[in-house]
Amino acid sequence: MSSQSNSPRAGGVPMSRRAALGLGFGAVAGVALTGCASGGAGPSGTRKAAVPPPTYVAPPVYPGAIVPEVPGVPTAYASMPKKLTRTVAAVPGRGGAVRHFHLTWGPPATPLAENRWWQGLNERLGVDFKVTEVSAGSYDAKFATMLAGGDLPEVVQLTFTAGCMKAVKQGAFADLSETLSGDKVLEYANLANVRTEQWQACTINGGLWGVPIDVPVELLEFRYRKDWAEKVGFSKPPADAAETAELLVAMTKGNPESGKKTWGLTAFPGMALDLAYGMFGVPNNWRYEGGALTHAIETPQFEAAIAWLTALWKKGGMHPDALALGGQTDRYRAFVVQGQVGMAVDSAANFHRPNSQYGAVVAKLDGAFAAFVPPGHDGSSKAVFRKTAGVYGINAISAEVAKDKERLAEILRLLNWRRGPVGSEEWYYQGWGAEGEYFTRGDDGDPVAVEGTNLDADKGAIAYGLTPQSWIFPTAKECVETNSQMVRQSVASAVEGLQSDTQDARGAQLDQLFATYINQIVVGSRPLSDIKTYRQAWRSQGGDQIRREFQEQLKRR
Amino acid sequence: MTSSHQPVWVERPNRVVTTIKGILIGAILLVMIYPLAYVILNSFAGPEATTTAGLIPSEWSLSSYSTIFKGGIVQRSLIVSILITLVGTALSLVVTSTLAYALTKTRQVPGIRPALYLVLLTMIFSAGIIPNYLVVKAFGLLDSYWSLIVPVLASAFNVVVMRNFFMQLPRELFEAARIDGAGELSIFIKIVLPLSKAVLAVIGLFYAVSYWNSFFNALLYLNDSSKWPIQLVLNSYVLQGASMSSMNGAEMYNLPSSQSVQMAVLVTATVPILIVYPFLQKYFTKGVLTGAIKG
Repeated sequence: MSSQSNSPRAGGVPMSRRAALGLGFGAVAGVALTGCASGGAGPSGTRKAAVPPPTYVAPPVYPGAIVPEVPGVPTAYASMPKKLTRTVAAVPGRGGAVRHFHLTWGPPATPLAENRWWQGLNERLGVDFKVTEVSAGSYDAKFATMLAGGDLPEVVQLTFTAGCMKAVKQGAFADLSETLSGDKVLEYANLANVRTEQWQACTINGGLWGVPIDVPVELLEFRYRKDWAEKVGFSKPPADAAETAELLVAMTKGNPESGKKTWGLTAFPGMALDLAYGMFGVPNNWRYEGGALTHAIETPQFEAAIAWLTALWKKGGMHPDALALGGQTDRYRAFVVQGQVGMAVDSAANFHRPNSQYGAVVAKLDGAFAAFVPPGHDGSSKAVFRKTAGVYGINAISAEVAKDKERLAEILRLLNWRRGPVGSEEWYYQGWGAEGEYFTRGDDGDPVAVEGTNLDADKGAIAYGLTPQSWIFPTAKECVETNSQMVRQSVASAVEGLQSDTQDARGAQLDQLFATYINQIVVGSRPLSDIKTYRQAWRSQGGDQIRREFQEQLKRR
Repeated sequence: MTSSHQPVWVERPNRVVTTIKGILIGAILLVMIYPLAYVILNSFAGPEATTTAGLIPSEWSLSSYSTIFKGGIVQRSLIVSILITLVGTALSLVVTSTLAYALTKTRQVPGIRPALYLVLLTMIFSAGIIPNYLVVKAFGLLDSYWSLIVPVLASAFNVVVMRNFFMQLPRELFEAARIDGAGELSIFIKIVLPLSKAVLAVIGLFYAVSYWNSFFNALLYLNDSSKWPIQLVLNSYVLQGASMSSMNGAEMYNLPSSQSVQMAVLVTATVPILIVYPFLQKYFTKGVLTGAIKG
């Protein structure tokens, strides 16, 4: 993850912008969308009169809930809610087909004819749910052609990429700001559980473009091999950046797992950058002070973080293939699963869910793969992390479809059903399927998955982005505590929710610049002093223009 | 040049040179074989096995194969790919051979030369992704298997190679057939095609490989994942978790090491088409060279 590529909302790198630009996304969308705009927002640059955001109603909690004090940390449970509530009384659909365009992160769903879970979902929704699945890597090409062909499905999962934003601005999707404003959202009670900041993240040019794909505001959790640390002489988590580097080097060279090759860190940028940025307090994307924006890479904190990484590389605290592994999540993860990594970062839930790859490792190591919050670089200050609005993307509704108000209402009812909160019958079915077919009850009443089903892959393909985040695992309390601390120590980007055309157009180029300079600096192929050249290049190749565009918007706020 | 200098292929091979050549060829072979062996061997790695360290997994298992065959998606996509490849190759050969034969008649039939230029034009200029998509949509082929066949039915390159091959067939044979009363169709079926087995085999292989590797068209034209060919399914497995799920909130389940799953899909997607090669090898060089050299 490079500093420039962070999505203003999600804080991550949703996907390549190159493909979108290569396809001439904007021009295509412009042609295809003529006459397609809804009554929503006008073209880019125009703003509508503000309407109140949808009213927020906290989702219900059930006995045993661990309700965090920090906003944005999901409510968690150590075990499944015992009593389920039905949140949608009537079947939401009217019987026809409803098509979705979904991002997927794994294999496709089992075909409907052989998929009892999907069939059951259709019965409950009262529609023939059809889904076009597209992996993140192919998203841009597929989205561009669909858009050009003028046959957008009813619901499209958008990310905050240049192509998607352009389509939004050109009116391909329905503006829901009026439909869901204020208390009107209560007609779709489960959608009212969406936090206001999440709705704001889906608001562009005054239009509300869909229902957010829910993620925690701070997804990450850091873990380290406590057993290795003790073996190499660290009885406590590292207290500052220097000690962290010493530990990582010792984990690599101190043979903590006799007979097995081990490394402190295995991926750059990836987790190495997350760790260094956190410890040195590098701002989240942009910082706004005294009416001026400063980008993260322009700060002394950034320079200190890169210097620390460079020294770490030189001392051998990283895997020699770290640069390659930075882009190969599978390989990076395989190292973690195989117990060859001293320090790792990933989504908190992946460490805590017993049925996840990391969950199995955590359970096997029985406390030795411990969660920790990285220290501030000098030991006295605290690390600063990067939070988001908790939105990965938007479930947008086609403008063409939304012209029919009854159809729009039906689709919103369906989205409302899909967003059934934790402890609801709707949520339970989407997570576990039907009792007997997909799960049986354990002694404690909790569901035990029937082996041999393909439900995990099916859920990933069909339910991704529609259901709310749920943290239900035995270590929920620890997860909430660590995450709360991370969120307390995290800052949002100053440009959260703002758009920059230059950022959209030149983001990929600036990412490449980061790889050209910073990756090479870290591995010692360039001197640290080249950071200055990098900053100049970054400014001249679009950085300053992006700053101007964001600054203008901030002044208008 | 004196008479004592013989051509190199007549001279006795120098042992040192031969050894160096052997080592070089061996090294090149190793470079080719290693990744293949790595993929195949690691597709049998167990969930806990080291898939990142070396050629031989530390633990053997069929769990990756049982995972990918569990939902029936891979089997289904294999069947789709096999059918698309068989039907597509057969139709492509019919269209390509008839077109190539017709394009040899530049002197006999008026308008053939411009038609040839039109075919050649498609080698230089491509319509682009979106115009192609719009055409496929206009023909009502979206979400249909035919969308993977019809738009790529004839490749200009293959037409040109086949035409050149046909041009080299002895004209006397055609004239003799005409004297015996054969029409163009009879000549084509009874004389041209039997004499063109080499080029048909090679072009058939080209088409088969391209249908088997059909990915981008499938991505664009097929919305229903149950119709996906193997390459699209392979892509979804290879990219599984490729984007940091810590960023998208997607869950990471306890599947076998995803790398071994990827390897297993890769093997499954590669083996069927590899099996075809040895059977067509003898035609391969002959067919390509004969068709390509003479224009």
